[in-house]
Amino acid sequence: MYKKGDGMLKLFHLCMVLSLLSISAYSEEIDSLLSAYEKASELSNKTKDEAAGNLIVYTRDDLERMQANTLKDIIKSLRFFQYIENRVGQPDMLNQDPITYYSKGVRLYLNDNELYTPLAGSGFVHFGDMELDFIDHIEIYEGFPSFDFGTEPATVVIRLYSKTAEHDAGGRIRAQGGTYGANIASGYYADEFDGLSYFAYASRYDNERKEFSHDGETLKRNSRRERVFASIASENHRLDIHGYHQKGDAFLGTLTGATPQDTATRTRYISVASYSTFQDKTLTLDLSFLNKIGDYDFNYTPTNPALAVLPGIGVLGIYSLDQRTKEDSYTAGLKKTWYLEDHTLSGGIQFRHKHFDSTDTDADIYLLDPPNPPTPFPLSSEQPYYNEDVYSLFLQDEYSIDKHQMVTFSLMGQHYHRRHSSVDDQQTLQGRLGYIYTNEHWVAKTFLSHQEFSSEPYMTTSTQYGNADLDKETYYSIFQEIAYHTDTTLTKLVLGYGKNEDTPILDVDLASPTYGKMINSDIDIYGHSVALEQTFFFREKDKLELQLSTFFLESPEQNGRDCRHHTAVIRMLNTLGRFDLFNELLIHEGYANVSTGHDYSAGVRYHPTMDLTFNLKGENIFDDGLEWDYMVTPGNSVIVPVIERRFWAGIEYLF
Amino acid sequence: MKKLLLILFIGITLFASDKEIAIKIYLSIAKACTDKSDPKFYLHGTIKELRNNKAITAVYTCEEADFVVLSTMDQLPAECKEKPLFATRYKIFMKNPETIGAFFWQKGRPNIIFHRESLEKHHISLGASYDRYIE
Repeated sequence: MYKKGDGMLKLFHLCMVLSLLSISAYSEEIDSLLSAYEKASELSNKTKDEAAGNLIVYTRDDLERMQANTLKDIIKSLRFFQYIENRVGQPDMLNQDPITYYSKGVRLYLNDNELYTPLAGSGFVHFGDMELDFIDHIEIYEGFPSFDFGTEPATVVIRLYSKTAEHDAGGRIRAQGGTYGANIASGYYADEFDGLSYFAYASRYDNERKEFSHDGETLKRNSRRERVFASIASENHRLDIHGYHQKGDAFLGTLTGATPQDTATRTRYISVASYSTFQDKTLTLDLSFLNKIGDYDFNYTPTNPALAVLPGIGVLGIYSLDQRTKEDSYTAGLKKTWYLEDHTLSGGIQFRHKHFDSTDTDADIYLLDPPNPPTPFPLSSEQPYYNEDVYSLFLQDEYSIDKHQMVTFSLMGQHYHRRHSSVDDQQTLQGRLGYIYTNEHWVAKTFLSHQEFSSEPYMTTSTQYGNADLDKETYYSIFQEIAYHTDTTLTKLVLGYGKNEDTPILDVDLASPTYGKMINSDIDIYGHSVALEQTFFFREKDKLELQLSTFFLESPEQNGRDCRHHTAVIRMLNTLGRFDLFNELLIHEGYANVSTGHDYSAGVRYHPTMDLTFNLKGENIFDDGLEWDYMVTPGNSVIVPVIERRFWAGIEYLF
Repeated sequence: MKKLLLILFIGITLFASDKEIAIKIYLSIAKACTDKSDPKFYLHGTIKELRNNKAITAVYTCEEADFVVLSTMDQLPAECKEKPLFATRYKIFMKNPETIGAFFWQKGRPNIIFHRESLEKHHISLGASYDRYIE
C-alpha cells in the first residue's frame, strides 16, 4: 500500500536506525526489543519521501502526545505559515481578507486520495481543521514539492495517513469535553480476515467557540460536524469512503459593508476512492469520485445592509443572501515507475473532471444610490462556466550520482478545458530540479522550481468577485535546506526565495471596470524565507524543539497586508512513567493591525493501564495568541483571536 | 551498477529495520523457549518477517523443528502439535490454547503474550524478563 521510498535518502535516518539496532545488539532484554520495534515500525518510515520537498513529519507518537484534536493543532506551528481562518470561519492559511479563500496551492491528501473541492481548487478550506482521531501520521512537504503526488501543482502538500488494521486491530472510543460546551466523541474499529483488512471510523465534533460583539451584533463561529471514514484493503487494493456533514455559523459572512445579524453555513461531502497497485507495485491506478453541497446564508438588519459598489451603476444594499453551491468531480490517474541502473524514472497521466454550480442564489438586494428610493436589483443567475476538465501529465527522473548524491528532475503539465463556454482554456507547466547530498551526519537539499497555477473556478466564477478573464499565475522559487544530525540533536536551516507573477488580487480601484473583481497583479511579488530549527532528543522519548522563522513578502499594496512575519516555536514532549507531558509556546510577530501573539498550550496524558488514558489540555492558555483582522468597512474591522483560549478534558479506551 | 547496489542496500537495510528487530524478537523468544542458541524454526502460513531470512535457521518439517511460528492453524501438520506453537495473530492465540504465545500488533502497539498452562505443558521456563508477558 505504501510506496517504496527512495533508498539513498534513507541514509538521512541511518543514525536513528543504527541507534535502534544498537539497543537490540547490546541488550537482548525483550522489553528493549519491543520498544525499539515499536519505534522502528512507525508507518511514517515507510511513506515519507525526503526527495519530494522540505519535509516535516508528525509521527503517531507526536500527534498523541501533543493531543492534536484537529489539523489546526499542527498547522498553527508550521514553518513559514500560520493557521488562519477566513471571514466565514473556514481554514485559509494564506488568507487575504476579504477574499474568502487563498490557499488553493495547499493540497491535502488522505492516504492516496486528494481531499479537494472543485470550486476552491484545493481542500484546505474544508479539511484544514479535520479531526485527527483516525490519522496515524502526517507528512508536510513545503517548497513546491514533487509532482508525483497529484493532478495539479502545489505550494504545500499535507499528506494524512489513516490508521490501518495491520497495526490497529481492535477498537477505540474517545470522548473530549471543552470550554464553551465544545465536545468530541469518536470511535473506530479495525480487523483483518482472509487477506482483507478494514478500518471504520465515526466522530461527532461540537466545535462551540467564543462569541464576539461588534456593531451591536453577535458574531459566532460555532459548528457541529459528523464524519465517517471507512477503508477496506487487500495486499494490492484499497477502497476508502469518506463523508462529513457540518452545520454552523458563518462568522462575518462573505459580504462587506455591515456586520451581519445572523449567518449560517451547512456542508455535505462524500468521496469514494480506490487505489490499486500492479506489476510488483510499480504501476498504480487511482480512481475517485466526490460530491459536495454547500449552503451559505447571511442576513442583515434592515437599517444596516451589506454594501457593494458597482462602477457605473451605483451602490447596492444587500439585506440577505442565501446561496447553495453544488459540486462533483471524478479523477482517474495512472502512474508507472521504472528502476533502471542509477535512475528511478516515473511517469503518470491523470484526468479530472470538475462540475460546480453556485447559481442557486436567493438574495434581497436593492439599488440604494441612485435612484432614491431603493429599488430591487436582480442578481445574475448565470456563471461563466460550469465544467472544467483537467488533463495532466508528469515525468520524473531521480538520478543517483553516487551513494551520497542525487539529482531529481521533474516536468508536469496540465490542460484546463472549460467545457461548453466561451472562457478560454488554460495550459500550465511546472518544472523542478533538485539536488540532494547526504552523508552520515549531513543532508543538503536544493530545489529549483517553476510553477504555473491555473485560475481556480472560485476566483473566476464567484458572483461576488469572480473574473472569467483571470489568467494563470506563475511562481519561480529556490529552496535550500541544510540539516545536521547526531544521535541526540537535529539542526536544520531552510532558506527560500521566490518570485510570483500575475498573482490574483482584488481590484480596489473605483475607476476600474473590474472594481471589486479578481485581477492579475501587474506587480511581481518577491518572497524571502529563513528558518532555523534545533531539536534535542534526550532520555528515551523526550524531545525539545526550537524553531525560528521569518517570512517576508513584498506584496502589492492592494492586498492590504504587510507581510513580514516572524515566528518562534518552543515545543517540549516528555514521557515520565505513566504520564505524557506537552508544552508549546508559539510567538507570532509582524502581522498587520494586530499585536504580537503568544500562544502557550500545554497538556498531560495519564495512562493508568495500557488501554485507558485520561487527558487534560489547555490551548492558548494565557489568551494572548495571534489575532486576525477582518474588514467590515474600510476603517471598521473586527479583530478576534485565531484560536481562542480553550481547555479540554477527556478519556479514551482501547478494546 | 555498484552505486545502485549500494544505494539499494542502504534502502533495504533501512526499510528492514523494523523487520530486523522483529527477527531478533522471534529469536529471543525461541531461544528462551527452547534453551538452544540456534533454534530451528518451522514456519506455517504467511510470516513475512521470517520467510527467506538467513538470520534464522528454518527447516522444512516439524520433526526437525524446535519452534513453530504460525499465522494459521489450517492444515497444520499433526507432528507440529507436539512442538511449541507460537502465533502471529491474537485471534489464533485466543482460539487455540495449545499455542504457547503470540507476537502481534493490536491497538496500535506490538504485543507479546504467553499462556502459562501451555508453557508448563511444554516444560518451558522463561526468564524473569518475560514475567509480565505471561497470562
